[in-house]
Amino acid sequence: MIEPVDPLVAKMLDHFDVPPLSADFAERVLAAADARPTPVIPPLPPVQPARARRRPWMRQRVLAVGAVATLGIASMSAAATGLLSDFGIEIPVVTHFVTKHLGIKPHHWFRHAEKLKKELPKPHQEHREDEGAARTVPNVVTPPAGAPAAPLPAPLLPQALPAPLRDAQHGALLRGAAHPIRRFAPLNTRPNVAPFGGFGPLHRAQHVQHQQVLAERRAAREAARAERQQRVITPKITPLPELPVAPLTVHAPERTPQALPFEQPNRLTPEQRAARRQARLNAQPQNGDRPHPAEPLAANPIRRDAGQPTHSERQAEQAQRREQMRQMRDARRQALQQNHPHPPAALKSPRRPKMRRMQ
Amino acid sequence: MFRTVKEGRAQLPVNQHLTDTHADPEGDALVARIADGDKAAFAEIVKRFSPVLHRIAYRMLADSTEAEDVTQETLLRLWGYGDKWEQGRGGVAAWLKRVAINRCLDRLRRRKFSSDEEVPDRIDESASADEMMDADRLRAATIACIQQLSERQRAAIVLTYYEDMPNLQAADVMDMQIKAFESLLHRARQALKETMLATGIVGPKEGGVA
Repeated sequence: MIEPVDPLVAKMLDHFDVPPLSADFAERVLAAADARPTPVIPPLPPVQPARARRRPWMRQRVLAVGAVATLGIASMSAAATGLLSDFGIEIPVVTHFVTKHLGIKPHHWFRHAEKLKKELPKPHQEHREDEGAARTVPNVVTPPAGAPAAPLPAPLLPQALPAPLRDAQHGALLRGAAHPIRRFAPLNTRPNVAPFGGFGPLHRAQHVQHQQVLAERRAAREAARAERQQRVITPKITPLPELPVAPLTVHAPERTPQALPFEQPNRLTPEQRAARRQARLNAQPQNGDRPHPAEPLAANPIRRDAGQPTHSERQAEQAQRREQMRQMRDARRQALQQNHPHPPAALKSPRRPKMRRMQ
Repeated sequence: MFRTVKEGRAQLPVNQHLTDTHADPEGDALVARIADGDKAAFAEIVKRFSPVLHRIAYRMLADSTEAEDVTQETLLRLWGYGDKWEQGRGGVAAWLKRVAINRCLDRLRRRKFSSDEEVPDRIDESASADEMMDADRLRAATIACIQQLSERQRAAIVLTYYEDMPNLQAADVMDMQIKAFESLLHRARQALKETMLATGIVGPKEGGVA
Protein backbone atom coordinates (compact mmCIF):
# COMPACT_ATOMS: atom_id res chain seq x y z
CA MET A 1 0.00 0.00 0.00
CA ILE A 2 1.49 3.26 -1.03
CA GLU A 3 1.38 6.27 1.15
CA PRO A 4 -1.27 8.90 0.44
CA VAL A 5 -0.53 12.17 -1.29
CA ASP A 6 1.05 14.80 0.84
CA PRO A 7 -1.59 17.39 1.81
CA LEU A 8 0.52 20.35 0.72
CA VAL A 9 1.28 18.66 -2.58
CA ALA A 10 -2.40 17.93 -2.94
CA LYS A 11 -3.19 21.52 -2.13
CA MET A 12 -0.83 22.68 -4.85
CA LEU A 13 -2.25 20.15 -7.29
CA ASP A 14 -5.69 21.56 -6.68
CA HIS A 15 -4.58 24.79 -8.28
CA PHE A 16 -4.41 22.93 -11.63
CA ASP A 17 -7.98 23.57 -12.76
CA VAL A 18 -9.23 22.83 -16.25
CA PRO A 19 -10.91 25.41 -18.46
CA PRO A 20 -14.31 24.41 -19.80
CA LEU A 21 -14.79 23.01 -23.25
CA SER A 22 -15.72 25.34 -25.99
CA ALA A 23 -19.44 25.84 -26.44
CA ASP A 24 -19.63 24.31 -29.89
CA PHE A 25 -17.44 21.30 -29.09
CA ALA A 26 -20.31 18.83 -29.26
CA GLU A 27 -21.54 20.24 -32.54
CA ARG A 28 -18.08 20.06 -34.02
CA VAL A 29 -17.67 16.45 -32.97
CA LEU A 30 -21.05 15.51 -34.40
CA ALA A 31 -20.28 17.33 -37.60
CA ALA A 32 -17.00 15.46 -37.88
CA ALA A 33 -18.86 12.24 -37.30
CA ASP A 34 -21.28 13.16 -40.09
CA ALA A 35 -18.38 13.81 -42.41
CA ARG A 36 -17.08 10.36 -41.80
CA PRO A 37 -18.78 7.41 -43.41
CA THR A 38 -21.49 5.88 -41.33
CA PRO A 39 -20.20 2.79 -39.57
CA VAL A 40 -22.79 0.54 -41.01
CA ILE A 41 -22.18 -3.14 -40.86
CA PRO A 42 -21.71 -4.41 -44.36
CA PRO A 43 -24.74 -6.28 -45.53
CA LEU A 44 -24.62 -9.97 -45.30
CA PRO A 45 -24.32 -11.92 -48.51
CA PRO A 46 -27.63 -12.95 -49.97
CA VAL A 47 -28.91 -16.16 -48.64
CA GLN A 48 -28.61 -18.92 -51.13
CA PRO A 49 -31.94 -20.53 -51.85
CA ALA A 50 -32.32 -23.98 -50.46
CA ARG A 51 -31.74 -26.75 -52.89
CA ALA A 52 -34.98 -27.80 -54.37
CA ARG A 53 -36.15 -31.25 -53.47
CA ARG A 54 -35.77 -33.86 -56.09
CA ARG A 55 -38.81 -34.39 -58.14
CA PRO A 56 -40.18 -37.91 -58.58
CA TRP A 57 -39.46 -37.84 -62.28
CA MET A 58 -35.82 -37.10 -61.56
CA ARG A 59 -35.63 -40.09 -59.29
CA GLN A 60 -37.27 -42.27 -61.92
CA ARG A 61 -34.83 -41.03 -64.52
CA VAL A 62 -31.93 -41.98 -62.31
CA LEU A 63 -33.40 -45.43 -61.81
CA ALA A 64 -33.98 -45.88 -65.52
CA VAL A 65 -30.46 -44.83 -66.41
CA GLY A 66 -29.06 -47.13 -63.75
CA ALA A 67 -31.11 -50.07 -65.00
CA VAL A 68 -30.02 -49.54 -68.59
CA ALA A 69 -26.40 -49.20 -67.57
CA THR A 70 -26.57 -52.35 -65.47
CA LEU A 71 -28.20 -54.30 -68.28
CA GLY A 72 -25.61 -53.08 -70.73
CA ILE A 73 -22.73 -54.04 -68.50
CA ALA A 74 -24.25 -57.46 -67.88
CA SER A 75 -24.78 -58.07 -71.58
CA MET A 76 -21.26 -57.02 -72.40
CA SER A 77 -19.92 -59.34 -69.75
CA ALA A 78 -22.04 -62.20 -71.04
CA ALA A 79 -20.90 -61.61 -74.59
CA ALA A 80 -17.28 -61.38 -73.57
CA THR A 81 -17.09 -64.40 -71.33
CA GLY A 82 -19.92 -66.60 -72.47
CA LEU A 83 -20.38 -67.67 -68.90
CA LEU A 84 -24.07 -67.00 -68.66
CA SER A 85 -24.77 -69.04 -71.73
CA ASP A 86 -23.42 -72.07 -69.94
CA PHE A 87 -26.27 -71.70 -67.47
CA GLY A 88 -28.83 -71.04 -70.11
CA ILE A 89 -29.41 -67.46 -69.06
CA GLU A 90 -30.43 -65.38 -72.02
CA ILE A 91 -29.65 -61.71 -71.89
CA PRO A 92 -30.82 -59.53 -74.72
CA VAL A 93 -27.79 -58.14 -76.44
CA VAL A 94 -27.88 -54.82 -78.16
CA THR A 95 -27.16 -56.53 -81.45
CA HIS A 96 -30.41 -58.45 -81.27
CA PHE A 97 -32.34 -55.31 -80.65
CA VAL A 98 -30.63 -53.51 -83.49
CA THR A 99 -31.10 -56.29 -85.98
CA LYS A 100 -34.70 -57.06 -85.07
CA HIS A 101 -36.28 -53.71 -84.44
CA LEU A 102 -34.23 -51.28 -86.48
CA GLY A 103 -33.98 -53.42 -89.54
CA ILE A 104 -30.24 -53.22 -89.93
CA LYS A 105 -28.68 -56.11 -91.78
CA PRO A 106 -26.17 -57.81 -89.51
CA HIS A 107 -22.78 -58.96 -90.52
CA HIS A 108 -22.55 -62.28 -92.29
CA TRP A 109 -20.60 -63.67 -89.35
CA PHE A 110 -23.49 -62.91 -87.09
CA ARG A 111 -25.92 -64.52 -89.48
CA HIS A 112 -23.76 -67.60 -89.64
CA ALA A 113 -23.61 -67.72 -85.87
CA GLU A 114 -27.36 -67.45 -85.63
CA LYS A 115 -27.70 -70.29 -88.03
CA LEU A 116 -25.33 -72.45 -86.02
CA LYS A 117 -27.14 -71.58 -82.87
CA LYS A 118 -30.47 -72.68 -84.26
CA GLU A 119 -28.99 -75.97 -85.41
CA LEU A 120 -27.53 -76.72 -82.02
CA PRO A 121 -29.61 -78.77 -79.61
CA LYS A 122 -30.86 -77.19 -76.43
CA PRO A 123 -29.29 -79.28 -73.72
CA HIS A 124 -30.59 -77.26 -70.85
CA GLN A 125 -34.15 -77.58 -72.07
CA GLU A 126 -33.76 -81.35 -72.29
CA HIS A 127 -32.41 -81.31 -68.78
CA ARG A 128 -35.38 -79.49 -67.55
CA GLU A 129 -37.72 -81.96 -69.26
CA ASP A 130 -35.84 -84.88 -67.69
CA GLU A 131 -36.00 -83.29 -64.31
CA GLY A 132 -39.70 -82.65 -64.69
CA ALA A 133 -40.33 -86.25 -65.66
CA ALA A 134 -38.25 -87.45 -62.79
CA ARG A 135 -40.29 -85.46 -60.33
CA THR A 136 -43.46 -87.28 -61.34
CA VAL A 137 -41.89 -90.68 -60.73
CA PRO A 138 -41.73 -91.82 -57.12
CA ASN A 139 -38.29 -92.29 -55.75
CA VAL A 140 -38.78 -95.83 -54.48
CA VAL A 141 -40.84 -98.43 -56.33
CA THR A 142 -41.48 -101.63 -54.46
CA PRO A 143 -41.59 -104.56 -56.90
CA PRO A 144 -44.23 -107.16 -56.30
CA ALA A 145 -43.21 -110.29 -54.50
CA GLY A 146 -41.85 -112.97 -56.76
CA ALA A 147 -41.43 -110.66 -59.72
CA PRO A 148 -38.24 -111.07 -61.72
CA ALA A 149 -35.58 -108.49 -61.13
CA ALA A 150 -35.80 -105.71 -63.64
CA PRO A 151 -32.61 -104.90 -65.50
CA LEU A 152 -30.73 -101.88 -64.24
CA PRO A 153 -30.73 -98.88 -66.47
CA ALA A 154 -27.67 -98.24 -68.52
CA PRO A 155 -25.02 -96.11 -66.79
CA LEU A 156 -24.96 -92.50 -67.76
CA LEU A 157 -21.78 -92.03 -69.71
CA PRO A 158 -20.08 -88.65 -69.95
CA GLN A 159 -20.40 -88.75 -73.72
CA ALA A 160 -24.15 -88.99 -73.32
CA LEU A 161 -24.38 -85.78 -71.33
CA PRO A 162 -25.23 -82.64 -73.27
CA ALA A 163 -22.04 -80.79 -74.02
CA PRO A 164 -21.95 -77.10 -73.31
CA LEU A 165 -21.35 -74.63 -75.99
CA ARG A 166 -18.08 -75.37 -77.67
CA ASP A 167 -15.44 -72.72 -77.93
CA ALA A 168 -15.51 -72.92 -81.67
CA GLN A 169 -19.23 -72.27 -81.67
CA HIS A 170 -18.84 -69.47 -79.21
CA GLY A 171 -16.14 -67.88 -81.33
CA ALA A 172 -18.41 -68.19 -84.34
CA LEU A 173 -21.10 -66.33 -82.42
CA LEU A 174 -18.68 -63.62 -81.53
CA ARG A 175 -17.42 -63.34 -85.07
CA GLY A 176 -20.97 -63.08 -86.34
CA ALA A 177 -21.64 -59.78 -84.62
CA ALA A 178 -22.98 -56.87 -86.69
CA HIS A 179 -19.84 -54.85 -86.12
CA PRO A 180 -16.24 -56.07 -86.03
CA ILE A 181 -15.05 -57.19 -82.65
CA ARG A 182 -11.51 -56.72 -81.59
CA ARG A 183 -9.51 -59.81 -81.10
CA PHE A 184 -8.58 -60.58 -77.57
CA ALA A 185 -6.94 -63.38 -75.78
CA PRO A 186 -9.37 -66.08 -74.79
CA LEU A 187 -10.09 -66.00 -71.10
CA ASN A 188 -10.68 -69.71 -70.86
CA THR A 189 -7.58 -71.40 -72.24
CA ARG A 190 -8.63 -74.85 -71.12
CA PRO A 191 -11.19 -76.27 -73.51
CA ASN A 192 -14.23 -78.06 -72.32
CA VAL A 193 -13.79 -77.14 -68.70
CA ALA A 194 -16.72 -77.20 -66.39
CA PRO A 195 -17.91 -73.82 -65.08
CA PHE A 196 -16.88 -74.39 -61.49
CA GLY A 197 -13.73 -76.44 -61.95
CA GLY A 198 -13.22 -80.05 -62.80
CA PHE A 199 -13.20 -81.68 -66.20
CA GLY A 200 -15.90 -81.74 -68.72
CA PRO A 201 -17.02 -85.02 -70.27
CA LEU A 202 -15.09 -84.50 -73.50
CA HIS A 203 -11.97 -83.48 -71.67
CA ARG A 204 -12.32 -86.41 -69.33
CA ALA A 205 -12.49 -88.84 -72.28
CA GLN A 206 -9.47 -87.22 -73.86
CA HIS A 207 -7.69 -87.46 -70.58
CA VAL A 208 -8.42 -91.17 -70.27
CA GLN A 209 -7.27 -91.76 -73.81
CA HIS A 210 -4.12 -89.81 -73.19
CA GLN A 211 -3.41 -91.80 -70.06
CA GLN A 212 -3.80 -95.01 -72.00
CA VAL A 213 -1.36 -93.82 -74.63
CA LEU A 214 1.12 -92.88 -71.93
CA ALA A 215 0.74 -96.30 -70.27
CA GLU A 216 1.40 -98.03 -73.58
CA ARG A 217 4.50 -95.98 -74.16
CA ARG A 218 5.70 -96.63 -70.64
CA ALA A 219 5.21 -100.40 -71.09
CA ALA A 220 7.13 -100.29 -74.39
CA ARG A 221 10.01 -98.51 -72.71
CA GLU A 222 10.08 -101.02 -69.87
CA ALA A 223 10.14 -103.92 -72.33
CA ALA A 224 12.97 -102.37 -74.30
CA ARG A 225 14.99 -101.83 -71.14
CA ALA A 226 14.49 -105.45 -70.03
CA GLU A 227 15.52 -106.68 -73.45
CA ARG A 228 18.71 -104.64 -73.29
CA GLN A 229 19.55 -106.05 -69.89
CA GLN A 230 19.03 -109.63 -71.00
CA ARG A 231 21.10 -109.28 -74.13
CA VAL A 232 24.30 -111.54 -74.01
CA ILE A 233 27.58 -110.23 -75.35
CA THR A 234 28.95 -112.77 -77.78
CA PRO A 235 32.78 -112.86 -78.10
CA LYS A 236 34.09 -111.99 -81.48
CA ILE A 237 37.38 -113.94 -80.98
CA THR A 238 37.42 -117.35 -82.51
CA PRO A 239 38.26 -120.03 -79.94
CA LEU A 240 41.68 -121.72 -80.21
CA PRO A 241 41.86 -125.45 -80.81
CA GLU A 242 42.33 -127.50 -77.71
CA LEU A 243 45.90 -128.81 -77.17
CA PRO A 244 46.75 -132.10 -75.40
CA VAL A 245 47.77 -131.39 -71.85
CA ALA A 246 50.45 -133.63 -70.32
CA PRO A 247 49.92 -134.74 -66.69
CA LEU A 248 51.95 -132.74 -64.22
CA THR A 249 54.49 -134.58 -62.05
CA VAL A 250 55.61 -133.20 -58.71
CA HIS A 251 59.27 -133.72 -57.71
CA ALA A 252 60.32 -133.46 -54.11
CA PRO A 253 63.22 -130.95 -53.69
CA GLU A 254 66.53 -131.99 -52.24
CA ARG A 255 66.52 -130.76 -48.66
CA THR A 256 70.24 -130.95 -47.74
CA PRO A 257 72.30 -128.24 -46.04
CA GLN A 258 74.87 -128.39 -48.83
CA ALA A 259 72.28 -127.91 -51.55
CA LEU A 260 70.79 -124.81 -49.89
CA PRO A 261 73.72 -122.84 -48.53
CA PHE A 262 71.88 -119.45 -48.63
CA GLU A 263 68.49 -120.48 -47.39
CA GLN A 264 66.83 -118.38 -44.77
CA PRO A 265 66.78 -119.73 -41.18
CA ASN A 266 63.01 -120.10 -41.19
CA ARG A 267 63.34 -122.27 -44.22
CA LEU A 268 65.97 -124.51 -42.69
CA THR A 269 65.20 -128.15 -42.40
CA PRO A 270 65.18 -129.69 -38.96
CA GLU A 271 68.49 -131.39 -39.70
CA GLN A 272 70.13 -128.09 -40.63
CA ARG A 273 68.81 -126.42 -37.49
CA ALA A 274 70.14 -129.26 -35.34
CA ALA A 275 73.58 -129.05 -37.02
CA ARG A 276 73.75 -125.25 -36.45
CA ARG A 277 72.76 -125.58 -32.85
CA GLN A 278 75.52 -128.17 -32.33
CA ALA A 279 78.09 -125.95 -34.02
CA ARG A 280 77.17 -123.01 -31.74
CA LEU A 281 77.47 -125.20 -28.69
CA ASN A 282 80.90 -126.32 -29.77
CA ALA A 283 82.06 -122.76 -30.39
CA GLN A 284 81.00 -121.48 -26.93
CA PRO A 285 83.56 -121.77 -24.08
CA GLN A 286 83.06 -124.17 -21.26
CA ASN A 287 81.59 -123.14 -17.95
CA GLY A 288 84.99 -123.33 -16.18
CA ASP A 289 86.58 -121.00 -18.73
CA ARG A 290 83.98 -118.22 -18.29
CA PRO A 291 85.36 -115.25 -16.32
CA HIS A 292 83.71 -114.31 -13.13
CA PRO A 293 81.51 -111.32 -13.61
CA ALA A 294 82.86 -109.70 -10.37
CA GLU A 295 86.48 -110.00 -11.48
CA PRO A 296 87.99 -107.26 -13.66
CA LEU A 297 88.64 -108.31 -17.20
CA ALA A 298 92.23 -107.02 -17.28
CA ALA A 299 94.68 -105.17 -15.15
CA ASN A 300 95.65 -102.88 -18.00
CA PRO A 301 94.85 -99.23 -17.51
CA ILE A 302 91.71 -98.12 -19.21
CA ARG A 303 92.41 -96.47 -22.52
CA ARG A 304 90.21 -94.17 -24.30
CA ASP A 305 90.11 -96.27 -27.44
CA ALA A 306 89.97 -99.54 -25.65
CA GLY A 307 88.32 -102.21 -27.73
CA GLN A 308 88.81 -100.20 -30.95
CA PRO A 309 91.13 -101.36 -33.73
CA THR A 310 94.26 -99.42 -34.17
CA HIS A 311 95.15 -97.51 -37.26
CA SER A 312 97.47 -100.17 -38.57
CA GLU A 313 94.83 -102.83 -37.96
CA ARG A 314 92.24 -100.83 -39.92
CA GLN A 315 94.67 -100.34 -42.77
CA ALA A 316 95.41 -104.03 -42.82
CA GLU A 317 91.73 -104.84 -42.82
CA GLN A 318 91.06 -102.40 -45.68
CA ALA A 319 93.93 -103.83 -47.65
CA GLN A 320 92.58 -107.32 -47.10
CA ARG A 321 89.12 -106.18 -48.24
CA ARG A 322 90.57 -104.55 -51.33
CA GLU A 323 92.39 -107.75 -52.10
CA GLN A 324 89.18 -109.73 -51.77
CA MET A 325 87.33 -107.29 -54.02
CA ARG A 326 90.07 -107.48 -56.60
CA GLN A 327 89.96 -111.31 -56.57
CA MET A 328 86.17 -111.30 -56.93
CA ARG A 329 86.36 -108.80 -59.81
CA ASP A 330 88.89 -110.94 -61.58
CA ALA A 331 86.82 -114.07 -61.08
CA ARG A 332 83.70 -112.31 -62.43
CA ARG A 333 85.58 -111.05 -65.41
CA GLN A 334 86.85 -114.54 -66.12
CA ALA A 335 83.38 -115.94 -65.78
CA LEU A 336 82.05 -113.39 -68.23
CA GLN A 337 84.81 -114.18 -70.59
CA GLN A 338 83.92 -117.85 -70.44
CA ASN A 339 80.30 -116.84 -71.18
CA HIS A 340 79.07 -118.40 -68.10
CA PRO A 341 75.43 -117.39 -67.65
CA HIS A 342 75.25 -118.17 -64.00
CA PRO A 343 78.48 -117.48 -62.12
CA PRO A 344 79.03 -119.61 -59.09
CA ALA A 345 77.97 -118.31 -55.77
CA ALA A 346 81.56 -117.95 -54.68
CA LEU A 347 82.05 -115.29 -57.34
CA LYS A 348 79.26 -113.12 -55.99
CA SER A 349 80.35 -110.03 -54.13
CA PRO A 350 80.07 -110.51 -50.41
CA ARG A 351 77.88 -108.39 -48.25
CA ARG A 352 79.30 -105.05 -47.46
CA PRO A 353 80.06 -104.95 -43.74
CA LYS A 354 78.22 -102.38 -41.70
CA MET A 355 80.04 -99.26 -40.74
CA ARG A 356 81.23 -99.36 -37.22
CA ARG A 357 79.85 -96.72 -35.00
CA MET A 358 82.42 -94.36 -33.70
CA GLN A 359 82.43 -94.17 -29.93
CA MET B 1 -6.48 -4.17 -26.35
CA PHE B 2 -5.62 -6.16 -23.24
CA ARG B 3 -2.16 -7.25 -22.54
CA THR B 4 -1.92 -10.88 -21.77
CA VAL B 5 0.06 -12.41 -18.96
CA LYS B 6 2.76 -14.69 -20.19
CA GLU B 7 3.16 -16.44 -16.87
CA GLY B 8 0.22 -18.32 -15.57
CA ARG B 9 -2.10 -21.08 -16.40
CA ALA B 10 -3.89 -19.32 -19.20
CA GLN B 11 -3.41 -16.21 -21.19
CA LEU B 12 -5.93 -13.85 -19.69
CA PRO B 13 -6.17 -10.12 -20.14
CA VAL B 14 -4.53 -7.95 -17.56
CA ASN B 15 -6.87 -7.41 -14.61
CA GLN B 16 -9.42 -9.77 -16.02
CA HIS B 17 -11.43 -9.61 -12.82
CA LEU B 18 -11.67 -5.87 -13.26
CA THR B 19 -13.18 -6.09 -16.69
CA ASP B 20 -15.64 -8.68 -15.50
CA THR B 21 -16.83 -6.70 -12.48
CA HIS B 22 -16.94 -3.30 -14.19
CA ALA B 23 -19.09 -4.21 -17.12
CA ASP B 24 -21.19 -1.33 -18.40
CA PRO B 25 -24.42 -2.61 -19.93
CA GLU B 26 -25.72 0.89 -20.57
CA GLY B 27 -22.56 1.91 -22.35
CA ASP B 28 -22.60 -1.34 -24.33
CA ALA B 29 -26.14 -0.57 -25.47
CA LEU B 30 -25.09 2.89 -26.60
CA VAL B 31 -22.16 1.51 -28.53
CA ALA B 32 -24.46 -1.05 -30.11
CA ARG B 33 -26.69 1.76 -31.28
CA ILE B 34 -23.64 3.63 -32.57
CA ALA B 35 -22.68 0.55 -34.54
CA ASP B 36 -26.07 0.77 -36.24
CA GLY B 37 -25.38 4.41 -37.14
CA ASP B 38 -27.52 6.00 -34.41
CA LYS B 39 -26.26 9.56 -34.10
CA ALA B 40 -28.41 10.23 -31.06
CA ALA B 41 -26.49 7.57 -29.19
CA PHE B 42 -23.22 9.10 -30.31
CA ALA B 43 -24.45 12.52 -29.14
CA GLU B 44 -25.25 10.98 -25.78
CA ILE B 45 -21.73 9.56 -25.57
CA VAL B 46 -20.25 12.91 -26.48
CA LYS B 47 -22.33 14.69 -23.89
CA ARG B 48 -21.49 12.19 -21.17
CA PHE B 49 -17.77 11.62 -21.67
CA SER B 50 -16.36 14.70 -23.39
CA PRO B 51 -15.75 16.65 -20.11
CA VAL B 52 -13.83 13.76 -18.56
CA LEU B 53 -11.76 13.20 -21.67
CA HIS B 54 -11.07 16.91 -21.93
CA ARG B 55 -9.88 17.12 -18.35
CA ILE B 56 -7.53 14.20 -18.78
CA ALA B 57 -6.18 15.56 -22.04
CA TYR B 58 -5.73 19.05 -20.71
CA ARG B 59 -3.87 17.96 -17.60
CA MET B 60 -1.69 15.70 -19.68
CA LEU B 61 -0.91 18.19 -22.41
CA ALA B 62 -1.47 21.54 -20.63
CA ASP B 63 -2.89 22.92 -23.83
CA SER B 64 -6.58 23.60 -24.40
CA THR B 65 -6.55 23.27 -28.15
CA GLU B 66 -4.66 20.00 -28.15
CA ALA B 67 -6.88 18.71 -25.39
CA GLU B 68 -9.97 19.38 -27.46
CA ASP B 69 -8.34 17.71 -30.43
CA VAL B 70 -7.53 14.63 -28.41
CA THR B 71 -11.06 14.53 -27.04
CA GLN B 72 -12.55 14.80 -30.50
CA GLU B 73 -10.26 12.13 -31.92
CA THR B 74 -11.12 9.82 -29.07
CA LEU B 75 -14.85 10.19 -29.57
CA LEU B 76 -14.60 9.81 -33.33
CA ARG B 77 -12.57 6.69 -32.81
CA LEU B 78 -15.51 5.24 -30.96
CA TRP B 79 -17.79 6.29 -33.82
CA GLY B 80 -15.78 4.20 -36.24
CA TYR B 81 -15.19 1.38 -33.76
CA GLY B 82 -18.81 0.50 -33.05
CA ASP B 83 -18.95 -2.57 -35.27
CA LYS B 84 -15.87 -4.08 -33.57
CA TRP B 85 -17.07 -3.47 -30.04
CA GLU B 86 -17.07 -6.42 -27.66
CA GLN B 87 -19.56 -6.14 -24.85
CA GLY B 88 -18.58 -6.79 -21.25
CA ARG B 89 -14.99 -5.73 -21.63
CA GLY B 90 -14.75 -3.01 -18.95
CA GLY B 91 -17.20 -0.43 -20.20
CA VAL B 92 -17.11 2.53 -22.50
CA ALA B 93 -15.59 4.93 -19.96
CA ALA B 94 -12.46 2.87 -19.41
CA TRP B 95 -12.07 2.34 -23.14
CA LEU B 96 -12.38 6.09 -23.87
CA LYS B 97 -9.92 7.01 -21.10
CA ARG B 98 -7.43 4.44 -22.39
CA VAL B 99 -7.65 5.82 -25.90
CA ALA B 100 -7.30 9.37 -24.65
CA ILE B 101 -4.26 8.55 -22.50
CA ASN B 102 -2.59 6.80 -25.44
CA ARG B 103 -3.27 9.79 -27.71
CA CYS B 104 -1.81 12.13 -25.13
CA LEU B 105 1.27 9.99 -24.71
CA ASP B 106 1.75 9.94 -28.46
CA ARG B 107 1.48 13.72 -28.62
CA LEU B 108 3.88 14.19 -25.74
CA ARG B 109 6.45 11.93 -27.35
CA ARG B 110 5.98 13.65 -30.68
CA ARG B 111 6.30 17.03 -29.02
CA LYS B 112 9.50 16.00 -27.28
CA PHE B 113 11.18 15.00 -30.54
CA SER B 114 9.80 17.82 -32.69
CA SER B 115 10.22 20.78 -30.34
CA ASP B 116 13.19 23.06 -30.86
CA GLU B 117 13.22 24.20 -27.28
CA GLU B 118 15.17 22.20 -24.77
CA VAL B 119 13.17 20.73 -22.00
CA PRO B 120 14.51 22.35 -18.86
CA ASP B 121 15.69 20.01 -16.18
CA ARG B 122 14.58 22.42 -13.55
CA ILE B 123 11.90 25.01 -13.58
CA ASP B 124 13.07 28.54 -14.02
CA GLU B 125 13.56 29.87 -10.55
CA SER B 126 14.12 33.40 -11.66
CA ALA B 127 10.57 34.41 -10.95
CA SER B 128 10.28 36.08 -7.63
CA ALA B 129 7.99 34.81 -4.96
CA ASP B 130 6.13 38.05 -4.93
CA GLU B 131 5.02 37.61 -8.49
CA MET B 132 3.61 34.18 -7.78
CA MET B 133 1.35 35.02 -5.00
CA ASP B 134 -1.83 34.96 -6.92
CA ALA B 135 -3.71 31.89 -8.17
CA ASP B 136 -2.42 32.12 -11.67
CA ARG B 137 1.07 32.02 -10.33
CA LEU B 138 0.36 28.92 -8.31
CA ARG B 139 -1.42 27.28 -11.21
CA ALA B 140 1.44 27.95 -13.55
CA ALA B 141 3.88 26.64 -10.98
CA THR B 142 1.86 23.49 -10.52
CA ILE B 143 1.62 22.94 -14.24
CA ALA B 144 5.34 23.47 -14.49
CA CYS B 145 5.96 20.90 -11.78
CA ILE B 146 3.69 18.39 -13.45
CA GLN B 147 5.39 19.02 -16.74
CA GLN B 148 8.63 17.90 -15.18
CA LEU B 149 7.28 14.41 -14.71
CA SER B 150 7.58 11.79 -17.36
CA GLU B 151 4.60 11.00 -19.55
CA ARG B 152 3.55 7.89 -17.70
CA GLN B 153 4.11 9.41 -14.28
CA ARG B 154 1.98 12.32 -15.37
CA ALA B 155 -0.74 9.98 -16.53
CA ALA B 156 -0.64 8.12 -13.22
CA ILE B 157 -1.06 11.36 -11.26
CA VAL B 158 -3.85 12.60 -13.52
CA LEU B 159 -5.84 9.38 -13.33
CA THR B 160 -5.48 8.70 -9.62
CA TYR B 161 -5.57 12.19 -8.17
CA TYR B 162 -7.62 14.28 -10.54
CA GLU B 163 -9.96 11.61 -11.87
CA ASP B 164 -10.04 9.82 -8.52
CA MET B 165 -9.70 6.42 -10.10
CA PRO B 166 -8.71 3.41 -8.04
CA ASN B 167 -5.24 2.07 -8.71
CA LEU B 168 -6.68 -1.07 -10.26
CA GLN B 169 -8.77 0.81 -12.80
CA ALA B 170 -5.97 3.25 -13.50
CA ALA B 171 -3.60 0.36 -14.13
CA ASP B 172 -6.14 -1.16 -16.49
CA VAL B 173 -6.49 2.11 -18.35
CA MET B 174 -2.75 2.36 -18.70
CA ASP B 175 -2.56 -1.29 -19.64
CA MET B 176 -0.21 -2.17 -16.78
CA GLN B 177 0.00 -4.67 -14.00
CA ILE B 178 -1.21 -3.33 -10.66
CA LYS B 179 2.17 -3.71 -8.99
CA ALA B 180 3.92 -1.92 -11.79
CA PHE B 181 1.37 0.87 -11.69
CA GLU B 182 1.71 1.32 -7.94
CA SER B 183 5.45 1.51 -8.31
CA LEU B 184 5.03 4.05 -11.06
CA LEU B 185 2.61 6.08 -8.97
CA HIS B 186 4.95 6.07 -5.99
CA ARG B 187 7.84 7.34 -8.07
CA ALA B 188 5.59 9.98 -9.63
CA ARG B 189 4.55 11.31 -6.24
CA GLN B 190 8.13 11.36 -4.99
CA ALA B 191 9.31 13.16 -8.09
CA LEU B 192 6.47 15.68 -7.87
CA LYS B 193 7.23 16.45 -4.23
CA GLU B 194 10.92 16.87 -4.93
CA THR B 195 10.13 19.15 -7.82
CA MET B 196 7.81 21.30 -5.72
CA LEU B 197 10.38 21.46 -2.94
CA ALA B 198 13.03 22.39 -5.41
CA THR B 199 10.79 25.02 -6.92
CA GLY B 200 10.00 26.44 -3.56
CA ILE B 201 6.30 26.45 -3.87
CA VAL B 202 6.23 23.93 -1.06
CA GLY B 203 8.63 24.46 1.79
CA PRO B 204 10.00 21.73 4.00
CA LYS B 205 8.70 23.54 7.02
CA GLU B 206 5.22 23.68 5.66
CA GLY B 207 5.09 20.24 4.27
CA GLY B 208 6.96 18.59 7.05
CA VAL B 209 8.47 16.24 4.65
CA ALA B 210 11.61 16.06 2.63
